Amino acid sequence: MDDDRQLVCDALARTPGAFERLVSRHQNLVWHMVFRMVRHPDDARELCQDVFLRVHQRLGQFRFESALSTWIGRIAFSVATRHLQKRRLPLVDPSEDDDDNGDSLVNRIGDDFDLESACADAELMAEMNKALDGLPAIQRTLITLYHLDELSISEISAITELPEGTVKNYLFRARARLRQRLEALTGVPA
Amino acid sequence: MIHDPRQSDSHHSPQAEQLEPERAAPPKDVAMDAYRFIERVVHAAPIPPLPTDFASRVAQAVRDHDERAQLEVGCVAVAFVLAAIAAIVFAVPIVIDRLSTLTAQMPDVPWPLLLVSGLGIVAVACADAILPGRAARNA
Repeated sequence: MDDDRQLVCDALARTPGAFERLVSRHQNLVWHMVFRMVRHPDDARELCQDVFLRVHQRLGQFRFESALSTWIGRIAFSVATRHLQKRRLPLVDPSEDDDDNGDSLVNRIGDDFDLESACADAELMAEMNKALDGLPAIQRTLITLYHLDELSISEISAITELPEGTVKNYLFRARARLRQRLEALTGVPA
Repeated sequence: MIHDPRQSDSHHSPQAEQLEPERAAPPKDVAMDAYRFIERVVHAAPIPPLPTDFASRVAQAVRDHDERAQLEVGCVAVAFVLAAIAAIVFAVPIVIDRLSTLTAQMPDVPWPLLLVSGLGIVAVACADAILPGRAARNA
C-alpha cells in the first residue's frame, strides 16, 4: 500500500513519468478485463485509454480504502460494462437458472481423461478457446481474472462489486460450461 | 481381522501383484485434471498484446487533455471579459440617458450612488465566479 500511496502522490504532483509508471503497472489487468468483456481489440484499446483518462481525472478522490489495482479495476469494469450496455450486448446468460448443471457435468467426465494429452492437442485447445470466447461476458471475464490474473475471490468481488457468492457461482458455471464442451469434444461417454 | 496362516505370504499372490501398481500410483482425480485443463486453456487463450508504448501514449493523451482543458478555461474567461466590456460600452449611453430622466423626475433619489453600488455587487459576484481560490475560501 505504501508503494501505491507514493505512486498516487507522485502522479497527483505531476511528477514527470509518475502517471506513466502507474499505467504500466496496471495496464495488463485493465487490458485483460476489458478485452475479455468486449472482445474487439480496437474497441478494447480505446476503452483502456478511456479507463486511464478517468483514473487520471479521479485520482484526487482515491482515499486508499482499497488497493489501487482494485480501484482501477473497478473503473475498468464499469467502463466495459457501460460499453456493452450501450451496444445492448448481454453481460450474463439469462437461461442459466439451473444450479445443478455443474455437479452432474463434473461427474460425467470419464476416468480416461488424460490431462497431458489434452493440453498437447492443439485442435482441442483451439476449440476450448472458442468455448471460452463463447461464454457470457461476465463469466469469461471472471474466469480470466481468477485464473490468468490470479486475483482472489474477494478481490474480484471488490472490483466487480458483485457479492463473493455470486462471483463463486459465476466461476462455477463458467467451468461447468467449459467442462461440458470438453466432454463433447473428447467424446467421453456420459 | 482374523489372521489366516495360508495367507501369510499374500503379497506374493497374483492378485496382490496385480494390485501393487494401483496402490503405488496416486488415485486419478478426474475433476482436478479437468480443473487444471481449464486453467491451462485460460492461460493459453490468445489475447492480443497492448502496444509496447501504450503507457506513454496514455500519459501523452492525459497531458493533451489537461492542456485543452486549460485552453478552454482561458477562452471562456477572455470571452466573458469581452462580453462585459461590450456590455459596458453599449450600455453606458443608455444608462446615462435613463439616469438623466430619472434624476429629472425624482431629483431626491441618489441614483449615481445606487448605480455604483449595483455595479460593485455585480463585480464582486463575477470575481467569485472566475477566481476559484476566492470561492473556496468563501465556502
